[in-house]
Amino acid sequence: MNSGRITLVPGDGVANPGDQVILGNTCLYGATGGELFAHGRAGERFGVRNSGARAVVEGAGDHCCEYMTGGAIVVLGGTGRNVGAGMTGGVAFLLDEAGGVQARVNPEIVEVVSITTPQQESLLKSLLEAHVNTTSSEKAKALLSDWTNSKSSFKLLVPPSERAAMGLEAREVVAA
Amino acid sequence: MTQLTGSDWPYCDSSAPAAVAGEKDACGVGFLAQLQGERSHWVLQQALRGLGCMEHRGGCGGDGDSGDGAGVLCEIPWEYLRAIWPEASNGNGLGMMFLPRDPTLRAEAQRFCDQEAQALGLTSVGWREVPIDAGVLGPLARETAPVIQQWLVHRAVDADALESLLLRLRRRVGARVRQEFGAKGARDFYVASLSGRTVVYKGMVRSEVLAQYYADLRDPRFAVSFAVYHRRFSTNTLPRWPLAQPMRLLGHNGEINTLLGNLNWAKASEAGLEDVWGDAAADLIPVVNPDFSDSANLDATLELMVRSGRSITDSLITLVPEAFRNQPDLDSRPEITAMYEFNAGIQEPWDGPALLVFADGKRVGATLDRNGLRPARWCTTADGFVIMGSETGVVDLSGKTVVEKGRLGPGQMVAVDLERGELLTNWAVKEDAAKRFPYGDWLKQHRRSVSAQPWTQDCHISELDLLRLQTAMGFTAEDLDLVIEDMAGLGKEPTYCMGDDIPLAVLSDKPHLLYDYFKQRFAQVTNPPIDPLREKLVMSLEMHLGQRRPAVKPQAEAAALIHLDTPVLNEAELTALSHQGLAVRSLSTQVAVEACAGGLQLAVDALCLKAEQAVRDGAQILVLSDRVNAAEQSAELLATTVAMPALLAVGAVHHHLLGQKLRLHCSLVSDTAQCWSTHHMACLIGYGASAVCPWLTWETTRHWLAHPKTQKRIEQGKLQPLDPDKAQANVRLSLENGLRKILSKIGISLLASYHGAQIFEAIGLGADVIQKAFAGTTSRVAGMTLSELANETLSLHAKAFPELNRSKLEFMGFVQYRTGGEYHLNSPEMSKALHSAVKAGPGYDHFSTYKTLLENRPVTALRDLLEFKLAATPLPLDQVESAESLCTRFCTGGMSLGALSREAHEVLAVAMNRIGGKSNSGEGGEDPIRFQVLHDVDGDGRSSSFPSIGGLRNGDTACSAIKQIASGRFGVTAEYLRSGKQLEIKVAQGAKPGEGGQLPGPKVDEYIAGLRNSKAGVALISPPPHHDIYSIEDLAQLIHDLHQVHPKAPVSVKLVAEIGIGTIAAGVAKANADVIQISGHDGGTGASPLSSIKHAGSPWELGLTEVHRSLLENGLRDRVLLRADGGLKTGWDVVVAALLGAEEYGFGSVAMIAEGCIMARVCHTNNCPVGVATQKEALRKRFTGVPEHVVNFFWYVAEEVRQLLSVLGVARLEDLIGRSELLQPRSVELEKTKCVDLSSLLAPVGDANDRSWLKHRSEAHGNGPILEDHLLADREIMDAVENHGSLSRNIDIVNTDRSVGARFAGEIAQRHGNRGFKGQLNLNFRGAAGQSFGAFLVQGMTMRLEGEAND
Repeated sequence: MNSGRITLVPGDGVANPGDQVILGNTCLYGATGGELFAHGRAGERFGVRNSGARAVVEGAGDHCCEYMTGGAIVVLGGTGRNVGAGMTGGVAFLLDEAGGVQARVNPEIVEVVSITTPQQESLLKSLLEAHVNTTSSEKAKALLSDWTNSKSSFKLLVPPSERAAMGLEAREVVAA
Repeated sequence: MTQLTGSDWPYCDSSAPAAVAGEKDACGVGFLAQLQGERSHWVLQQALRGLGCMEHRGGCGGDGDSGDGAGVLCEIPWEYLRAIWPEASNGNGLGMMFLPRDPTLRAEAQRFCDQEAQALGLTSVGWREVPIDAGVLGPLARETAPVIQQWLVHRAVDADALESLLLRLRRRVGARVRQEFGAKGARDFYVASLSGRTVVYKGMVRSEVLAQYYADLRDPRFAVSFAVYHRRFSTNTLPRWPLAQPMRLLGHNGEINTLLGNLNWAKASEAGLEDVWGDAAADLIPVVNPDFSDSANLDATLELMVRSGRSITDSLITLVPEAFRNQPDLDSRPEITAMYEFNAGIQEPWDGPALLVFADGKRVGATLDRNGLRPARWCTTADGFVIMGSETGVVDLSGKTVVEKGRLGPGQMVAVDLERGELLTNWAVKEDAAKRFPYGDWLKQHRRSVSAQPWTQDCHISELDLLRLQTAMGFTAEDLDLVIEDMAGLGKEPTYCMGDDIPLAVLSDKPHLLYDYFKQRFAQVTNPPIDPLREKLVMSLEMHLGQRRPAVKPQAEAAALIHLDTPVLNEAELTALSHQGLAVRSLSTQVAVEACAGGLQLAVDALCLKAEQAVRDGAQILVLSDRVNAAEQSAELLATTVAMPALLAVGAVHHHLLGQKLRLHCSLVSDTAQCWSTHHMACLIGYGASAVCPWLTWETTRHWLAHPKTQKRIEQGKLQPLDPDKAQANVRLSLENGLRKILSKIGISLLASYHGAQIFEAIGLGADVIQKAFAGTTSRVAGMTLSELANETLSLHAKAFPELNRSKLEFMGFVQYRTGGEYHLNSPEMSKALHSAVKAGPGYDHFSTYKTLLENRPVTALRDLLEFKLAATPLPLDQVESAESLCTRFCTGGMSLGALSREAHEVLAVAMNRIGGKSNSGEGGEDPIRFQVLHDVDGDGRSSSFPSIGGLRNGDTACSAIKQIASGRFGVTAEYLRSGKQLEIKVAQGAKPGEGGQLPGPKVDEYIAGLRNSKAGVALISPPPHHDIYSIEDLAQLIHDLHQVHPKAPVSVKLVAEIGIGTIAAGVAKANADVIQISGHDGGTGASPLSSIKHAGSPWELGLTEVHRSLLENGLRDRVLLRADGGLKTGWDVVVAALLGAEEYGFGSVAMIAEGCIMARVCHTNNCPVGVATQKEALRKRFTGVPEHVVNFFWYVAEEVRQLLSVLGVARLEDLIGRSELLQPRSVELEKTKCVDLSSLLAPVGDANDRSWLKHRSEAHGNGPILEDHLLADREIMDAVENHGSLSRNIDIVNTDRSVGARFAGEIAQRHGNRGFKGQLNLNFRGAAGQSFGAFLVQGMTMRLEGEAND
């Protein structure tokens, strides 16, 4: 995917749509741009080797954002383990209501930080708004309606190369 | 003069077992179950519907009609049977029997069945002809269709006891039939199922044909409460009914990578069956069979466990465990961890991608392997159905309320307990299993562990003695300077560049270690390699030592093992093994020199017998040591004693104990001086060692550290500060990481599964060596016998004893070129000759110097053992195909912009376009500026579009004809793909098949970052697998995507030669590829681990022959064009490749040399002195290559081909393709072996007169009708596409509509590029989208899906 937009919403007769799996494995592999909004959970390796697409999903499996080099991923729900392995660029916002994000991230390259800067906040908020507009997600709506509180339950995954763009103090990029 | 086609023992090849080279399969699977046990025909109907929706995951035979197989495994529909078959009331067991078509044989087979039933106290109640319609079968399936009957038996015992009896009955009947009919006749007899609970309906059919074939399945009275279904995609096309799935308990989507090891261990476990079965055990042996598929063997192993009394879920948790280490979710579930730890001691996992769907009538469910690479989705409905499948959207849920939708993550299981009417989700199943036995208590009582022990600090051997030992063991200067230095100093194995261009070990005149004859196998297409760095958490190097007890019966004593975190032991850890309460014995691998001189046979046999005796005497750990004597006293090597190769000792003892059924009584530990690289370590473990103490490597490391040179470098800050602890720990770490890498390239996560799995192929070993120590390993080219191996071992020993004839380590030149060292194909001398030739321009003489250099080379590659059968009279040169025409068959290798400098990359593309050949973009995208044709070239050959290269002409274009799609997918967009004339999926790379890559930050400048959509200075990682290709049906899907986005471009798939590639290529051809490229192990690289360059993959000659043969035999050869590459340098090479079956020819390194590469071999350092393989601005300025040079090179090659055509007496190269009968062995003397076996290259293939396969379709393969066709035919839409219009459409979609959106993206990109479309297309879909929904979308496309999507 290079640009354009994909929207996924569940059909009729599905209870609690945000908690249900709507997407398969390995989505946005090698994407160079565009947007994806899915009102449901994704499978393994969501956003693998993504280098430009922006996406919002409501849950994901193991190895989310693996080898990512650009773009932005928002996950409004739980993820599997090994998030952000080999992620040299791009950012991810993970909703961390239960507090288990840190243990599920592969810390080799990326750092897990709280949402502290206007850059982070505006990117996250704009993606959530777009998600509500396209999918009418209840969860995203709820988060936005209580933004001051809910933004603190997000964690940002940021590799060194994106720190400046996220308003953080630049650090030397690890030459691997 | 040597005879080179010996087929006399032991100078003959050892063939590959079916487990290695046999067919691979993949598929779609699923199940349905009703929780309350309510039976309905709906369940069956939906299972059949699910099958139909998986059709695209299946494959068809060469006739295009016979499916690879489809089937259902379900509850026995007793009510239905009683209604149509009165006797059914009198039976409680039902067999689904595939019987011979010959009536006499059939009657006889039935008689055996009846008799064997009687012998077990069962009554044979009756037989029923199963109504079928043979008219719906494809021709191939019809020819081989069995007569299918159901067999009713009875005995009044409880249900579980009946199942055990029926297993015995099936085995006895099978054995009886084999005995009476012979192995070949027995193939017409097969029991699809025999059970009191379940029945299997299956056949060599496509999905939708299954119910048309079996009338039973269409009867509305056929009501069941659960059903498992399976659609198969096989790489083979010869239909075999029994290979259709489901098996008796399982439907399997995936591939067991560790199969050879699992089979060996299963064989060894047969000895323990009596514990559970008593005398009946004899009925069950053999449990596994190497002639059967991985799925069949896994099913058989599972069945044995289940029938031995373990629950099917417990059994699968044992056989295919999840990655339980580093799993945060298990922190709160210690009892599950304890169960896994215990299981690890009784069962090596069956490892590989696997989605297993299972049913034994008590439980039905599905489980995914630890890597979770297969998709598995499930949901539950309000009316109590549990529905699970490879894809979502295959079952008709209209009118039902979905309560829960989920998917199986890695290592997860979902099951339905049919007896209790309960859904067991992942943790519930596992908690249920963990409660079965007090695993935690057993471990606490019995388990021991040897953890890290202190490192030895001081050197124990004098400098001189060390040198002597190293020399005797074959340790060379390069091993110290490259291998030990990098491992000890940096903690990683060395990185190197370019390809492996030295003679194969068997052809070389230099002594090699036994390890060098073994090539690591790797995963391609049918299963994915994994990432040992980024996904380390699923991997484990843990091993257990001691007696392994039967997995069919968990018991406390089975926990009495020594647990090791790592198989790499230091001296203190080796010693510690003896203090754990287990009986440890050391056996000497030293041999008297005179005994060795007579060949190693006797010495090896003696060692094996000693080992056997030691085990019979109770030893639980055998240490095979080259530093003890026969009395188990420490003893140095002497002038009179030589150490047998460590690998030979391990392999021979392992196989001997297997044969004696003693193997599980003990573990093998190798205590050896001959192990210092990751490849050595992998070989020892792969052939049976559980742990290795590489003692000379530790000593060498300590000496290296103490050496003044090393100390000085530390002082100068060139090396990090090191002490003996750190240096040795670094070596250990490097060896461990290297092991992980070697495991990962074949897709194995656990060393315990790699252990004894023999994942290698041998090149150049005689049949006696293989039989003695490596049985089951393929060896082609035969060659080295045991006595020749003994000579080689002695020749190393003689360098050190009785007199050490040197003062420093010998430089062999296996890695680096140096005068006096090993021969290298790419030498500075050769590149100089080529440079003068290409600069001199037209005129062939200069090329002759280059050609002569190569002609007179020592025997290096397999093709050097061949020569042409010349025609009696040459054809005049003017009647031979033109050079221009030949040039269209030439391609360059996929060298990425990033590995090559921009200049070097552009020059190659321009040159190839000029000659009508094809350049390859490599990985990493391409600048759209290159897609144009140049019209602005000035008088100096310069264009403003390409300011840094010269020698251009108007009409040139730098657009690469072949656009590569690699695992990193860098720069792969609709516009990029549409710019290609051909699209290449790089599945593997010759220099490091099965591995990923990394473009280090410093090489990523603004330009490269722009092309790859990344940031300058940030490292870019290419994963080892394509994350959308985990199996053959996934590859078919990617090919489908590419044909969708660019229907005119043929799709090529690049594979690397290894044993079994023929089967894989057949699958690739069936997956609709247009071209298959076979690369040799010798392909170049910008940077790869040294051990990968040297030890993975095999020569293209073997790969090409195997592929050509397999495609011909399967009737698939006309579907694909074959291309070969790997060290091709001359017209002679081209003609050999043509004769072996290649139609196009790829050139890598030599094309780089033609544009200026001087073989400095520093690509990996970014310091290329001539600007070819560097991104540094200053060095790139030194680049002097022009297209003309490259054009000249290819022109010379074409001219040489013409001359050869002339002497071969043919007008066109096409007339030679595949005609291996025009090759004959060349008479050459080899230093090491008297004789090699060239039958793998020269055996006649197919019907020589039928050349119709050379005619390929002129257009790229199509995808048939697709969802987008009617949209593309809609004038309004096309008008919008052309003129930036906007519109919306509502469209229904189902899961068989795949890659939706890609065709549109291609059409838009063709007209407007990725981001030039200003209009807006809103496509609103409703339903379940098939795979690759929205692939390659471009600007202005908005796709909305109401429903759900697949992968």
